[in-house]
Amino acid sequence: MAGLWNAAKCLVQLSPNLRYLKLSYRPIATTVQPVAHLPTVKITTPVLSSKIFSPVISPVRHTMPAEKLWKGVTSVSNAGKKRGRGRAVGKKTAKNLNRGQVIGVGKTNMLWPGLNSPVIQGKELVQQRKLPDDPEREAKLLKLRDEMGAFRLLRLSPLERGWSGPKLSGRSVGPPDPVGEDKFEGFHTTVLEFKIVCNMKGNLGRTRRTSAFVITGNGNGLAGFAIGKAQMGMTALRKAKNRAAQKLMYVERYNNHTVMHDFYSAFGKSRVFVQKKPEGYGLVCHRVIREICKTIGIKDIHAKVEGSTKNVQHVAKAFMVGLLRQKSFEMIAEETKLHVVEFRKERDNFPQIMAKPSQVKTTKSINDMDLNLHLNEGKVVTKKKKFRMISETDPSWLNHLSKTERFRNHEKVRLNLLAQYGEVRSFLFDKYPECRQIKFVKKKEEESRCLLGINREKFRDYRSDVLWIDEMNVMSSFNVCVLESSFADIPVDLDKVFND
Amino acid sequence: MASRATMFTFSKFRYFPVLKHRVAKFSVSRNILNSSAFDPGYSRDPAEVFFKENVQSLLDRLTGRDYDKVFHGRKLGQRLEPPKYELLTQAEVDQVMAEMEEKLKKKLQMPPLLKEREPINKILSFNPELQGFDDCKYVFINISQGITNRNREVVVRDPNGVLREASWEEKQKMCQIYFPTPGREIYTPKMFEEANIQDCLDQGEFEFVLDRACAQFDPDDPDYVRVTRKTYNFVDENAKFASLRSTRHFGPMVLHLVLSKRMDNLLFHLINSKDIDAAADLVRLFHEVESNTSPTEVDEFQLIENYIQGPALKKSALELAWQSFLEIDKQRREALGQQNKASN
Repeated sequence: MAGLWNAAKCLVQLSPNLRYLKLSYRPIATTVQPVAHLPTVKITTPVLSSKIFSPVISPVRHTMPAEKLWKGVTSVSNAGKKRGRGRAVGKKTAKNLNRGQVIGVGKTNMLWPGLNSPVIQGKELVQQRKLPDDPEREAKLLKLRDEMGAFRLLRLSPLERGWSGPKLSGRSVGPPDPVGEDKFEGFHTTVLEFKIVCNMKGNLGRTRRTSAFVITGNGNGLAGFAIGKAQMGMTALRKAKNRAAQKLMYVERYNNHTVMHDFYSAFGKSRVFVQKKPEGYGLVCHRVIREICKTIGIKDIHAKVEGSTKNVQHVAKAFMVGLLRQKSFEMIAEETKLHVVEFRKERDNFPQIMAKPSQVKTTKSINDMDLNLHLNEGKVVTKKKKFRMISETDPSWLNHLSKTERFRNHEKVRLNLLAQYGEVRSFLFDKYPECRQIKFVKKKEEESRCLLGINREKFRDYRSDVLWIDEMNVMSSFNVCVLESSFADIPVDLDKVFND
Repeated sequence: MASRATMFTFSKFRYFPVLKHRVAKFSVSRNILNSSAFDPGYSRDPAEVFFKENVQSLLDRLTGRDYDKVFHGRKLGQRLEPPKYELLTQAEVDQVMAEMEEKLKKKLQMPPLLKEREPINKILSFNPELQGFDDCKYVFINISQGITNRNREVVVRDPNGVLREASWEEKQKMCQIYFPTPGREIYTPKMFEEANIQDCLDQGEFEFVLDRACAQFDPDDPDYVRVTRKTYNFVDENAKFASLRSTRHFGPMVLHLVLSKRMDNLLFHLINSKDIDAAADLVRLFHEVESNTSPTEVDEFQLIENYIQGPALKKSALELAWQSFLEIDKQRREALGQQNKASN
């Protein structure tokens, strides 16, 4: 009875405009039947009869069972589904209001022998009586119902999210499954591509499978990538992950943070230009390359992808091929028969010999003039023309430059002042202490009320050398008060303040 | 001054009370410093010893030449650049290394160890008729080229009518305005204040502190004397000698320690690190400073032993270190001898 009542109540909540459901309430008397297996004890419930309400539902009730009503409210018809209805985020779902409710327990905490307690305890007959109210019961019920509410997506932390929306690509999916003694500790896998692929078959027509392209690695030079395909997405992922773990490659890195040298590499229509960068530069590259770098343990590079940038597999392969083709300094020294010498600005261009050849030649070819020239076999990367603003020679631009030239050191001066005094102040500060930058502080209502009084005192202090700054302060605080309509509360003679 | 065709400029501080005020304040703080002037406790004028050829070569040898240390990566306050690579023949490598040796010599040039300079109190003229002509000082500076900042004429007309030579602080400030020295600031950085310098030293930033002091002060500036001697003493007390080895500050530090009769810690450190050549050089330097003579002993072992037996102050510790060194040295020689026999 209670369940139906709640359902009806809920229906009213959900759709108050349902016309074919007419509800009316009338008190009914209920008697609780004695439980069969217990000794017959006549229990009457005179207390209840006037307090329980039950809906009387109009004849429509007989033609429309509750289940159907529920379905009608909470679901979409097949035809509607095809049109895409009922797909909104946070749509209402059916709540089972019976959850958490127990027969015999209600708002009023009563002890009903035979219903929610045994009839005889020891040798005594348990009496029906009121127990102290349980204040948490209602709250618990409400909490349970709230939890049942709208469907919510599993919340991921921003670091765990993929590249875009709820898609899987860019998400980390944990280490590969251990195989025998290989536990793959410290490994992590990132999905690079996750898509549905189709195949036409003679008897089955278009068959769909999910393809997952993942990279797995330990962040310390080891990495492998693979594709896995399966009907189910999760199966495809698992397959790809475990295959990638069987195809690990070791990548040489410079000081464990960047690539050995600049290189160019291509696969299909994707071309990758990679530059070595100093510590702290970060990964400035295509998102696929970025994920690969994170998996390998490269921290600083700049990479430019040209040609096809959307073909994830080609971009990844081009980059990996380039990484694997890198040459060590020893190899370069042996190839060129010259010393490989490193110059760093922060070391005052001290020549650090990175590798010595077994035999040194005395003359250099033209490709030996530059390391990149040698690595690219004489090819040079085209450098883009420097972008020039059209207005660089424009009179208005020159005018702007001449006007703003005098501000060119302001920032440095501000910094110096802040370092020296902790605030920006004028050179007149010694004589006029008010000549400093006023820090903006958001005024609270009470403060702004008081402000008027404070400023009046200040105004009097400096009466001898009347300063416009203070006058301005007084003016502005008046404005504040007027705006906040609290002005009327303060008994101030405006004329007096200004004329004083 | 007037006879030369010079260009003079003058700063009138009338509308710059901040500057005027600062000058006044500066001199006050200077007085406070001077009242507790740093006394390094030298037996003689350090300049007399420092510039001697013999001493210079000894200090140079003591400093050492570790290229990796001299050319270590420094924080330049700029964005890092990727390293550049070149493919060089042997001749080119030799040439570049020769250039580096020149660079190294420059980098290891020692800042002189001097005593504090005397304050300037030279009154050029007194014109009582100018008394109260203005309520601020007038500073005149000769900004013609070809004069070092130290010899540049800077004079001040005080409001009481006195025309005097500018004090060192005023002079340094005016020179920094017209001929800025890179790395030097007009006001002394807060880093050199007594409370903050201790923090820097506790963090082990000795080279940074000394380098910045070199850039900020003249070598006879009382502040320079205070900061550097404090740093040297801190290094000595904490036996952090290795951190200043192969820097231009090692020589002055050694001379400071010898002059103030506290070189035993350094000798102890050198013996413990089995650097006997350097230890012997240190003892030679001691004799140069003490008696202006080069010691007669040629044998390094004898030289060191004589010092430990004679003028050393921390005899027991040095004795112990020396004996254990001799023991190890003897074992090493024996092992070498056996090796040679076996190979023969």
